[in-house]
Amino acid sequence: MADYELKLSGASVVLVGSFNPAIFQPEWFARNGLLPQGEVDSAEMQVIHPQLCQFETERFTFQITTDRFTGMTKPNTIADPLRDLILGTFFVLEHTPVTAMGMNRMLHFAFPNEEAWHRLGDKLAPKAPWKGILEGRPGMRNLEIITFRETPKGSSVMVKIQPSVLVPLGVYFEVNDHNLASEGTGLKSLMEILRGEWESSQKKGDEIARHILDWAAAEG
Amino acid sequence: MQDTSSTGQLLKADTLGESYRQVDTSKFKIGHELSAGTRQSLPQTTLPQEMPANEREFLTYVTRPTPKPHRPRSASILRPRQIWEGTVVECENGSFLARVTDKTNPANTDELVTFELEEVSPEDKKLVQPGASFYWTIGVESSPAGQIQNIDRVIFRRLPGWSASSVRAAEREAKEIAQLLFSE
Repeated sequence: MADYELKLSGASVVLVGSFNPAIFQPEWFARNGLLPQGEVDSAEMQVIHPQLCQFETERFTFQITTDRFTGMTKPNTIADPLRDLILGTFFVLEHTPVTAMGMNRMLHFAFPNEEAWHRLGDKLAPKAPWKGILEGRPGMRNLEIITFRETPKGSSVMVKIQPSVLVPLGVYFEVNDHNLASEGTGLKSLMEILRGEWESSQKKGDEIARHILDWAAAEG
Repeated sequence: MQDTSSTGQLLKADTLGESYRQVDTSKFKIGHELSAGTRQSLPQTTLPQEMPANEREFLTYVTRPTPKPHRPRSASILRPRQIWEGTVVECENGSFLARVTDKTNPANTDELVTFELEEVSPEDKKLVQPGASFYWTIGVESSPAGQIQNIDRVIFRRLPGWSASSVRAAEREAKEIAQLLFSE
């Protein structure tokens, strides 16, 4: 068993389409029964602008621009209420034109020592090819791997791996489960995916990260 | 391809307070040769109102303590130890019975658990009715000052009812099915 520890985790849903940021104010969520009034009352409003709305509550952070809706959990809170909130939001706004959706899992793991931390970077991005051409001491800063799935059509999974900026001797994983809206059914098809696949998508994100960490920790 | 990842176009972490998202990795590199020191209503009644008696016989009743409702401070961090999803089976005299499914260890069998209404936040109390579903989380919460607190939290799911267009679509579909079934 590899020696690493999950320190921070979170989830987000990103929708790409056409949005009216001015709608998405905390009070709107309370009025539609999507957030408790108490949570809305204590929400921290950060930006309200025709082009951008950004606020956070006890459990969630929202950022809405004219072409992008992002809902995110606070660190280490459970992820399923975010799914409910997004489903509820776009159940109310059922005619919103949306073309793509990402279900994202974010994880920060800590290593017990620097050697283990470097081992991951060296195994994922060996430094040998860079010797003799790059000066200094090259290191891995960002790795992105993508795979396209046959179903649903246009869907893909992308994994980002970076050194954590929040956890000392840590590594950051972000798994993006990307889905395209079906022609004709648009938002509805994406909400069906969100309803049916959210839990497995989040679980898969954890599995991918732990698989890579275990692989890196193994000898050889 | 459109970017639906989390870090793609979001604002910097320092504008989002206690964010855990990754934003700028320019100062960080992983690699053995890096020297140390540079690392810097859908309907809320989603289940039948009444649980069949024979089904209830196979479930374990669990007695549990009744902690006070808890509202976390925004800067505290929760480490969930176990998460269940519950469905209210019946309500009576300031408590409710719920069937809970262990989401942390899905292999565990469902259980029947009695919750006191006082464990539910005032705003969620109106949601407590047979068929309503909720999340029950047990974990440890650490404050920015390092205080550790065991928490036990019940949060009811908030899902909207059917929209008018959904009802119309369902009615249309029902008519089509009826025509297929009874056309001869």
